Amino acid sequence: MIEIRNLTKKYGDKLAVDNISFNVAKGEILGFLGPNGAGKSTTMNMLTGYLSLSSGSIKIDGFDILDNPVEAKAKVGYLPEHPPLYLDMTVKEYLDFVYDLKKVTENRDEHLNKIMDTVKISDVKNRVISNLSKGYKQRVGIAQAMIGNPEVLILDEPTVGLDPKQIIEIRDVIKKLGREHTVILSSHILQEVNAICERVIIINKGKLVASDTPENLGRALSNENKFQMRIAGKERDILDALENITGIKYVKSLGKKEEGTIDFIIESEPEKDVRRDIFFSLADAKCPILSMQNMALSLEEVFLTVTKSAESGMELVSDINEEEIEIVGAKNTKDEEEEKVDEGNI
Amino acid sequence: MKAIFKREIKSYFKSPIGYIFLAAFMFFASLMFVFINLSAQTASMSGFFQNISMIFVFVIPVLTMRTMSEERKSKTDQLLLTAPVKITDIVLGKFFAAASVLLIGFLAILSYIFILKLYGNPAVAEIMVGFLGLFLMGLLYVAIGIFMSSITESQVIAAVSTFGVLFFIWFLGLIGLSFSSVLTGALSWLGKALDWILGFISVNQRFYDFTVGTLNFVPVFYFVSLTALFIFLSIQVVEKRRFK
Repeated sequence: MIEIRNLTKKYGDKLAVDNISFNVAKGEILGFLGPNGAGKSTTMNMLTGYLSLSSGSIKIDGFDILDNPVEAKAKVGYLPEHPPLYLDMTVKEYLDFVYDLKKVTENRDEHLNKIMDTVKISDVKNRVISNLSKGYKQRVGIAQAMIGNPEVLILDEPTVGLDPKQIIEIRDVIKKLGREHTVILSSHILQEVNAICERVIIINKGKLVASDTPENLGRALSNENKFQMRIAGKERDILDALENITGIKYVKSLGKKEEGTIDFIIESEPEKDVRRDIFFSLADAKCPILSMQNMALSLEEVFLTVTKSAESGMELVSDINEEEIEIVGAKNTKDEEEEKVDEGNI
Repeated sequence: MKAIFKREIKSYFKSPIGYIFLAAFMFFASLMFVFINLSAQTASMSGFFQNISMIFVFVIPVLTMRTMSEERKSKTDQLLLTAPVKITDIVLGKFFAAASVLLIGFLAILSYIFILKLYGNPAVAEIMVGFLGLFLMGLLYVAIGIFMSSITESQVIAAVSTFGVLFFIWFLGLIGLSFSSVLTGALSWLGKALDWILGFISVNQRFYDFTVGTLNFVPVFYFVSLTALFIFLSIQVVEKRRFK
């Protein structure tokens, strides 16, 4: 559906996108990951014909974006980073305008009402866009991209600015759209890409650094054998109890965060599940486990890992800086200075 | 092009800009009509036409300042440029919308002819030629305004620079006069040459033919081709920005 060959974009001397090639199959949902300034938006702007290419080629359903721009653009719905809204129009007027602009042939009211229902903006359709909240504006932006049922949807950070409930709704909408459309969406939230996408492409500094299914990337990158625990008891007792368990690679104490408890990071040998052993051992030592959480990697760490493994074979994350680790569901409220960090290798 | 034209027209009258433009245009035009024609009790409008070109220098920038700059500032250019339309259609849609608002003002001041008819014997055909020239000049100024708007993101800069360019063009004729009066003696040929060059590119010089009621091919061609040139340049500015 989309063929990208040796795509390059230069701003003056600066290479924003450096020789990227990939294909997107019909009906696929592709996640586009990268930190700020990695070249995500630039790539998307080139895919939609907003920016020209320095070299390379982009074909959308066989139409070259430079040679047949009108035909190629007709197949694409685009939600840019900032939704392109005319703030002085009402939602309905705006969507009517986009409908005219894209020369859609479907029944106007039926088509627009269906889209407004899908992204849940029917109740604000007569309000002026400048008075809408950011979440609503974002949804009007998504609606705009859907007008004309384009075969390809390109969404640049579609869930930015939405509240958690809306994020879940929009993800569902995108998933649903993915059944009939080819979708490319960019994000810097790994969980989001995991939840929606069938394939993930990671770019960094304009270069393509990884392309795989989220499962494969996740297996390599999210550390299932590393978790954080909060255990009640004396540190010495706990360390003694843990010492008896085979398969633990190391234990790191994060100090006291709650009265009478100690927090630990525990990593086991790969492919070895030590959680049951830890439970029984600590139970015997009368040190109850208050919480146990798998550790997820933030995108930054995925990057570090991906770029590092590209340089030096496959070396996984065992020595990440503690400050960069993001713990899913856990809140770190204390100051870093207050924590006394002991490192006890067993 | 139709969709963009429709949206632009609506936007002129949703914001105060359309009203401000029409109000200012009609107010100053009528003021001139009162002083030049009614007070002086003349049915010839050539004096009116020669003076009204000054008003355009002030009001046209208001009409065109946001056409292209606002799209860039609010990022709506991303919608237009990724939609299946040509850049030419986008710019032309905007040009025709601004031209239509200008036309509304024109239809209003055409009523002066009827007022003159009430009290005298105006040469209607000649006056119509004057109005045609005035309108062609307005279209050229609109094209220049759109071009100036396309090179900036700021409405204010667009308005001020359009005003600067229009004022300069309007002034060219006067500057030319002073050259031959300053450069005398051995350099008088240079003064005359500069006069001729500036006179040639001076809009007012071309406009003069219309004001006295003569319809020539050359000035019509002059206005139409310059208007087309500035529309073309605006399209190129938008197009080239994609390659930056």
